[in-house]
Amino acid sequence: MSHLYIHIPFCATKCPYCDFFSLATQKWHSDFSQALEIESKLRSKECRDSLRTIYFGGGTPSFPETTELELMLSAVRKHFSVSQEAEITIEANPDDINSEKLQEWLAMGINRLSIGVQSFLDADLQYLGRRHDASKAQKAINEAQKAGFSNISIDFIHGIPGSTVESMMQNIEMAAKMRVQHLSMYSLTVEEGTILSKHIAQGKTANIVEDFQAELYIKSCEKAEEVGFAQYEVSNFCVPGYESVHNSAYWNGASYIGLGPSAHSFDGKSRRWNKSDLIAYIKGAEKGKIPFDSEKLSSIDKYNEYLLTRLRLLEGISLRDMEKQFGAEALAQFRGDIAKNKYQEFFVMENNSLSLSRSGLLLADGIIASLMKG
Amino acid sequence: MKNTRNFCIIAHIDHGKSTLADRLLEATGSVSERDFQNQVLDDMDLEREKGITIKSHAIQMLHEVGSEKYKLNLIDTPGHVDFSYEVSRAIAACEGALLVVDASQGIQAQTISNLYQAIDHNLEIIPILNKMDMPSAMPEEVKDQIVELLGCKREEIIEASARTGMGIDNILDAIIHRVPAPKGDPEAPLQALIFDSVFNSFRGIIAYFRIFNGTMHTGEHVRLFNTKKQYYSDEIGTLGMKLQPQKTLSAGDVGYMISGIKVAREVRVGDTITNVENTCAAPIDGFKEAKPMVFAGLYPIDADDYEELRESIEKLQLNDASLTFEPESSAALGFGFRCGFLGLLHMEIIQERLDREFNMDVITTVPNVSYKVYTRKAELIEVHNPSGLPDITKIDYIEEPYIMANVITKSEYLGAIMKLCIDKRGILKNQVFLSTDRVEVTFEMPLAEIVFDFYDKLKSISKGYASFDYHECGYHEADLVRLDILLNGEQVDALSTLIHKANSYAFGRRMCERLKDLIPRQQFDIAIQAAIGAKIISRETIKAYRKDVTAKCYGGDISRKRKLLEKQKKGKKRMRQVGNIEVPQSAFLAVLKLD
Repeated sequence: MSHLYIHIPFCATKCPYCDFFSLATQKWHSDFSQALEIESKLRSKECRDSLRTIYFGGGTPSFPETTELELMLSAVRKHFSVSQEAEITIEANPDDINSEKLQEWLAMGINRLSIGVQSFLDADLQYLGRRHDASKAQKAINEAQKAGFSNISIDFIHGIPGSTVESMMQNIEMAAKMRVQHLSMYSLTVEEGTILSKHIAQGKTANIVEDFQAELYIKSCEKAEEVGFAQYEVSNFCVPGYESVHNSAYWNGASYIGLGPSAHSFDGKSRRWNKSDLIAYIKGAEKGKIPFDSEKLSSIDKYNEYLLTRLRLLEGISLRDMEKQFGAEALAQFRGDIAKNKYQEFFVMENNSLSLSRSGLLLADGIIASLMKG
Repeated sequence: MKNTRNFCIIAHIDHGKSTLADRLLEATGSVSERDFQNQVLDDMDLEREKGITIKSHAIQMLHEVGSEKYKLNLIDTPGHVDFSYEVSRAIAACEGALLVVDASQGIQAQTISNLYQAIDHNLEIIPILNKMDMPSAMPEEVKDQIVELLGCKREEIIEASARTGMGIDNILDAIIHRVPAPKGDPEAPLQALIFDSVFNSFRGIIAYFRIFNGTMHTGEHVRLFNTKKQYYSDEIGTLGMKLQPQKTLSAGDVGYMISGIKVAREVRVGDTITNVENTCAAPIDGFKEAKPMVFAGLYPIDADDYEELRESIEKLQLNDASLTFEPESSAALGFGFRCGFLGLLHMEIIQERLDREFNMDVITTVPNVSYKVYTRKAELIEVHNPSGLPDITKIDYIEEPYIMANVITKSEYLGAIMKLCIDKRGILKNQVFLSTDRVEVTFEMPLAEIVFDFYDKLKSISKGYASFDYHECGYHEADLVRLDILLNGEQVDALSTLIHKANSYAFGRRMCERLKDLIPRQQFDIAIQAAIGAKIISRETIKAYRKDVTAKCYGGDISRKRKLLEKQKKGKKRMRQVGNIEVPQSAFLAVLKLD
């Protein structure tokens, strides 16, 4: 089973907090889809099994004309084998969603929507510089459901300055009320080089407050569970059975192919990533050579990535699996390192698996870093 | 011998000693323009940068006056209180001294103490008023100070500017006509004073000496009086811009000897060279063992570099016999060395040289002085390290070293300086007005008090207008306690200090506050405590951080995130582990600068 990601590097406008590769432009849309078609062909050899998931991410995949998406998807179907039950997701901006588009997407075979709601509060949306407002977000969800989408995920960003614990609780309750299947809740992060970080540095925008975010995180997790969403990753929750198959593949070490500029691929041994340069991508495709960088993972890299991805999952690390992949010695050292760092209080042992507790998840970076090798 | 002149220069830092030396070298044609770089004599980079002389140097200039040819030996002396013994030996090798005083600054404490040494050795003093070209020069006032100090005639003071070359000829004349020629008997048994040595990686130790009596030949079988070791003088010669080998040197001459000696310890400053068979009756007076005054632990930042650090310190010791070291270990810092230094500047220099010459980054622990601990069994234990203090129940009493500190300052800063010295447990011994607005105060105070932050404070409260000098003056009983720092109940040995009881509470509190700023938040609360014995005297808490997790981790992020966390892990590795608490290097250095 394999997985495929398509990076759509276009947005109508750039959100000030976002550091993903994307251009706010109307140009090059068709050049891009043609280039992606070429890349599909060039890289078809990399994957012999059928694709279990396809994911349109970005950028804003809902921004270009559907015809462009159709071109890309049909290219993928032409050059790869796609499983009958494949999960095919598109990330969509509430602004772009209308009944016509929804029907087109369904017709293409897209069966999962990830809607960038961010918040049902207008004040939050203003801070984030989003195009849509709260009522538009609700309307988008309703229309998608009416159109027949039965696997809808929405994104929230929490810890936005000016928001409160109460407003976040209302957001989560609204998600439950609207019967979406999946919820991703991200703490607002100030990424280097973004407009948001510049504005904070200049004092134009309020900064995030770590203690507030910590409190919100715990309360949001509790609330989500209370209203029927089970947490399965640091930032991801779902109605049982509706885990994102595509994203879970990343976290379980599966191999995947990423198409489009800045997209990452993993074949189990090496990681490669296309350069974050649209023009170079388009020109490269014309010459039959997509520009990329890659690195071969050492056994230490593999172990570190294993810790990094698995410990962010609620399922944690199956001791049997770890032993199988890295040997008994590595397992013994892992358990020894937990004890040495006095991390027992952050771990839960269940069904012969070690996972981070909720307070552990909140400190996952530092804990994982300490447990890494090298 | 009658045409030889041996002289040194006494000056305060920045009063222009090295520039004046440069001008003399130029005026006598001793250095070609091609070879010239400013401050010829300060050949260590560190000396040029700090603008101070660390090692003694010597250079011979040839100067013709009419038909007479003169040999002028300039012995350059270190310019810091840490090296006052080296200065005294350099002075002992001369018959004259140029007293260089900055016309805009006046006489400073350092200058006075060196001047007294020169007067004690009956040196002819030639007062020079330097930097006369400066608009802020106040020649009449400074001349008053000099006349007062030396009892010389006003017209004996030479006005000069090493920068413009003004007065250089007058200075050369004065050296020739006022400094006496050396005395001594070339036929007597060899008697030569070692005033410094340098290490050359090809030739070993090069000893610098001044012959008082007798004659020295190449290949002579010589003996060092104090170490009692014997060598052959493989090469002797005079010190020009380069070493100039000679067959013989005799009474009155300044020169060098190379004899295959590998380590500086064997060539002690102040020792006497004589002939093995034809031994002189007595050594030259004044020899002292270099005695470290300040001790601190040096630890490699990376524990794996321990052996490399040992080699580096050993190499430094080859040309710096005053550096002592012995292995020690610390629970917090691992394996390292307890090093003895002449003073704080010396310590700083060693640290910098380790960094520059050997690329060794080290953690230095809180420096302390050497204490004499008398036990109830009437034993005497010298303690160089807080952890070496015996159990309190076994101690009868402790003595700590005292110094006599001289401070010269403008009278407007007198009050603040008095307060500083008294806060540092000083007792006022003397106060003299050198002129209407310059005053010299003398305090007896514990050496331990200046080890910490005395210089920096003195400098800041006097806006730089205070000069400071000290000499040891014995040991006195002291009410000392060991102050320990605990992190979550675990004692951090490298942060322990011996401190006067009266200061311990304030010090403990400041330590806790400072550490709170320097130890990063971790996954749990950290209690920082200062304790004397079992008694906790201060406490601060570093709250655990609440959140440390990246929200998003998808395909592209995995490699980036792995690298980020690996970097974080590397950062942690550079920290020292105390229990499960990660303590950054900076925390160990912080206590050196508490304010």
